[in-house]
Amino acid sequence: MTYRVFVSCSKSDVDLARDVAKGIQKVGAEPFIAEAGIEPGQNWLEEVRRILSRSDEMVIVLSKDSIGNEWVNVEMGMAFGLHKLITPITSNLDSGKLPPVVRALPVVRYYRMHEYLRDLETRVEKTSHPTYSDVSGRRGVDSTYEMRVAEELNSGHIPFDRHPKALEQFRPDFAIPSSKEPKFFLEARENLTKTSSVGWLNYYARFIKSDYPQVKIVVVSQELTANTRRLLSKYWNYVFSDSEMDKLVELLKSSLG
Amino acid sequence: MNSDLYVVFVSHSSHDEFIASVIAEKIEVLGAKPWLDKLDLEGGDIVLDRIIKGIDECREAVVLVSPVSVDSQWVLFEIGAVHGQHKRVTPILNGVNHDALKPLKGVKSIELNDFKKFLDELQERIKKENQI
Repeated sequence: MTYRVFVSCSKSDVDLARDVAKGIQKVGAEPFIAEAGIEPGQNWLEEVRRILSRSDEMVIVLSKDSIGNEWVNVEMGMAFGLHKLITPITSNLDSGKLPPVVRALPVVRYYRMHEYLRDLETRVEKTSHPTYSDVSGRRGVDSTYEMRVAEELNSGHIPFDRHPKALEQFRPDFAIPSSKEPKFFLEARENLTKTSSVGWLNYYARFIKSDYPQVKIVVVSQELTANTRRLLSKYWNYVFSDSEMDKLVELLKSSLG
Repeated sequence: MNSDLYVVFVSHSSHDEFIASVIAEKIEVLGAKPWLDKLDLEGGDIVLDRIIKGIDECREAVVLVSPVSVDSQWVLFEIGAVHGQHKRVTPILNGVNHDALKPLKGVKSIELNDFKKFLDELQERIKKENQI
């Protein structure tokens, strides 16, 4: 799957835009440079909307020559309306003097472009997986078991990634790219025979559900009792024991296509 | 969101608050729900979340274009955003020439003094919607 970045610029900034585009290519995404207003025909709006809707995000190159460019502003607006991530990259501009529209967005200075590219690379890596299933656990806790579950899934050709941010904080904040949510969130625990550990997990489940109501949450454990299974089922969409791993693989496969 | 209501997003700068409130009133009389969004352009802080919510939920939008709002470039951004969602957006020009909106040639704008005509057309659209 190609991750596309729409690079908007005005005529005066084409060289800067090419430079940005090179960086975008290097991190594995496909840039599309659009010179704003170059052929402002009747269909210009339609054309831009068409390309934008197929893009994953937008970068907009701004210098003092282009800051007032009306076309650039309309393009930014369209990307905004389409819920795309917009990053203005500014060159030689006083950040205090940016127009309100630009100031409202997360501006990156040109000489710090590498910071944007680093974040972009993370987003590209996430989308290059055909699925967005996640394996998460408290850092360090049960990581051996987690790895084993991960290997099982891999052998079933289910790609996964473990969110580095997951549960670093008390409130689960697994890094979901702005435009795409994972379909599943997976919690792997070696031992869930104690009601106390189940209570904690259910507490955690409620947070995930309130933040990401669309995400299906799954818990898998080597050891479950009838009671802990019942308690978990109240908050988790699916509860699997280790011996039901094939069922889990089946579920993920059929849902993720 | 109540899907029965025809929501019209009314964007304006704080300088045009009175005109915007009159416009909202007229829209309400037609049985639509105006969604007023005041931009405090001097304050500087534009709340993007609030704006996208209004755009997401509206059926169409009107953007009051005055010399103040056109200078902020904000109106171009906002008109683009509504247009990006394939929704009707009508710039209402108050003391501004349509040339100020040159990238939006394909978007039909109206003069404030012709607002009555817009309301008639809006009424037709609401009627049509209710028939379905």
